[in-house]
Amino acid sequence: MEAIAIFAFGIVISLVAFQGARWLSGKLHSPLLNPLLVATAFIIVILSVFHIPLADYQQGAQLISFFLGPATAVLAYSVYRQIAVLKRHFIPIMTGCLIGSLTSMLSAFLLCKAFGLDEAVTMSMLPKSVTTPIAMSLSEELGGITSVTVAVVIATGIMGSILAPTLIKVFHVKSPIAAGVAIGTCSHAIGTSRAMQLGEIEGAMSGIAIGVSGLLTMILALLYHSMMM
Amino acid sequence: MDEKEAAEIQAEMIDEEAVAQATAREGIGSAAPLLQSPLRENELNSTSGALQHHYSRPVAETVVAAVRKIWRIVLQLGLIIAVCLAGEQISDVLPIDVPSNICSMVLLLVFMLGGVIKMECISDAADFLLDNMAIFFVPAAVAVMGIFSQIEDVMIKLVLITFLTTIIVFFVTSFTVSTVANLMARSEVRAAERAAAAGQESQKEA
Repeated sequence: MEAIAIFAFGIVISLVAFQGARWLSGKLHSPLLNPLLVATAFIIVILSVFHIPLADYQQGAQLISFFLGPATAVLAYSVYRQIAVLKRHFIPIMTGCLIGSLTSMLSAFLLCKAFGLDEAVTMSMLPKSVTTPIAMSLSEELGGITSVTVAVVIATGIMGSILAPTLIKVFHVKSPIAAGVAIGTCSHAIGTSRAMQLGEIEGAMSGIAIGVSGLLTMILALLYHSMMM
Repeated sequence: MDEKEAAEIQAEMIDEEAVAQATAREGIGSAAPLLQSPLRENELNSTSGALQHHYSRPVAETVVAAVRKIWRIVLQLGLIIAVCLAGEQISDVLPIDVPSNICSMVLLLVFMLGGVIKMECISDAADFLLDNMAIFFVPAAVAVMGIFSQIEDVMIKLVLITFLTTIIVFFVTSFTVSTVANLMARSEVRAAERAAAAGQESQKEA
């Protein structure tokens, strides 16, 4: 009985927290009230205040995480719907992903050096703009700390989804294709969930950018790694 | 093993549908019309008939529509999960470490481009997943609290670096895409002009 209650707790609190956060961000139009960020903060507070072990929460929450796979896979559906746009702008999209991935790793590397972070943390930061599974295996390969990578990847995703609408305005990005590719390249699937709300083309291009930038980052990082060895 | 499971799930789904519609066909592609809107018409009609005794008509209709939609989403989810299981299998076989999620995405795209899976077969479930995508990240984000003590000292630096790189990468990427697209459009226009000029000249010669 207790096991079922614990299992249900993880699911129910996740759903309630997220729906509440979404309702709140709909009411108050503040970009900082990102539903994912608010829901996460709320759950962390609840767990700490009531001294509930993280493992207990994760039992039920696993079921929600399970849907990450199908949710990423169906990005193919949104890409398929925009396949004409992809075919027509194939070269700009691919170039954007390549230059973006390079910039991501290079800027992370230089900034880490500038802030005086040690080697292990720097290596954990390099794959921060790509989707979690790729980032984790890359971090391991490069000699980073996997848990730090996961934290930074999620932080980057939330950062991207908060900043995206503002950045589109500030940099006068007129083309939804350019905006979509930029969101997907700098903030992977979490950013894409925001891009979906901006528009169908943005969402689809962001979805493409997750896959392409992820694979390119992997190749670039492994090249760098083998050159250094 | 997983592949077998996937095949089984697919087979089960197709079996169920085939019984309901009393039409035996093969393959996922042919399951297409079965997954679409006019699903189990006779059954749904009988449900609405039963409900009419208790509710006024519009209520019964909305309930039936909702049940019908949820059922469709569940079936379509089954199909998507089957593709994911196959994707997992492929990622295990590949020599380089491509995550299974990316494999499943590419696989689903290939299936859709090849016409094996029609858009209508997954549209309801896909829209549902895409609309609610952010929620699936909540558990992973909460799990960061478990490693908080490890990053406490460098926390502010990490957040600052994340903030800066996000802006830099966004700018560089969007700029690259727009610039390359513009350059290509311009060269296309020039090529078209050249072709037009050549056409005129050849006309003159003629």
